[in-house]
Amino acid sequence: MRTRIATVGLWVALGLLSVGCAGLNERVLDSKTETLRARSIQTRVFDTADRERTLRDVIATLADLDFWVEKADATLGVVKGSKSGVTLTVTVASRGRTQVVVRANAQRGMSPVEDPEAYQRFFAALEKAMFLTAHQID
Amino acid sequence: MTRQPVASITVLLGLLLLAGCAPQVSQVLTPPEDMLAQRQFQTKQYESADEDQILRACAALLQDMGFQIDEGTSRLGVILGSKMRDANSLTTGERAAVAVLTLGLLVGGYTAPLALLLVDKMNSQPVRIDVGIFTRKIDAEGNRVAVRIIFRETEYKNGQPALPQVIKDAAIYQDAFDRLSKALFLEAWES
Repeated sequence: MRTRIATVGLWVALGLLSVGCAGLNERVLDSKTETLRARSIQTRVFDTADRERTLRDVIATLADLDFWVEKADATLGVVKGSKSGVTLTVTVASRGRTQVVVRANAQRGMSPVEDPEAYQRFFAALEKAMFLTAHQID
Repeated sequence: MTRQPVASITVLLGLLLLAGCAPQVSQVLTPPEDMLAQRQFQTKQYESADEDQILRACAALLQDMGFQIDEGTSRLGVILGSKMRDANSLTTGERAAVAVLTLGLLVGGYTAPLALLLVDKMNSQPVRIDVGIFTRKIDAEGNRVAVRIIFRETEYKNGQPALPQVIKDAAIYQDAFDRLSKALFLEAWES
């Protein structure tokens, strides 16, 4: 009887220990995030061939939004900035000869930002800086 | 019947507490009301086709102002620098004088509480100052370069950094641009 109680106790303890633990796979790969949905809210296409100018527009937009630009790399096409605990990484890549793809990833504290509204605000500010309309990626 | 209002008040209070914690990310990504005014006093244009020369002058300016250069991406017209400074403007001698005065107040008995007011004057107040300089050619021919300078300040309390604040004093920017104009003039003469 005692051993049975001890065994049940052990399983309950183990069960409780595993509750609330994000798995390694989930933490490292963000495997619970819906990749396609995230990609569509974080990405916009602009009709310009000038990737470097777009990167400079991203820098100007971050400065306008009171973000602090921490990194900028023309070869990788990456700009990173932060404000009030929110970190934003923006990448700019060429798409064919006439378009660029801009993707923004935001993080606050220990969580990725999944609110579409946040990305819409960023792209609205970027559109103004670029004098171009952002298209959803197909 | 009486439980329901109590429960809703508790939920409401909880929500209010949460709301007060931090602004929504979408709010953080919304342009601030003074965006245009800030852009105006943080930006100056220089008649030059040579963006690299202006960037070099900016790096020299940062060194003149005692900044360490942390990052430089000339292809994108970005220079980042930082420095630590003491916001307590009293010199070592003045701080020693304050220490003597504090001791006197403590010994004085009923004046002792006044000594508490002076304790802060003896401590250093570390402040981190960051600077970002962003340049870009602006007109179609590329004969003008816009330079944007942004300073921000981070206070430290008990060794912990507070939230950084962008410095919005237009006179500081004017002073920095005056120095940059001089540096550009000097560089033009040196080469």
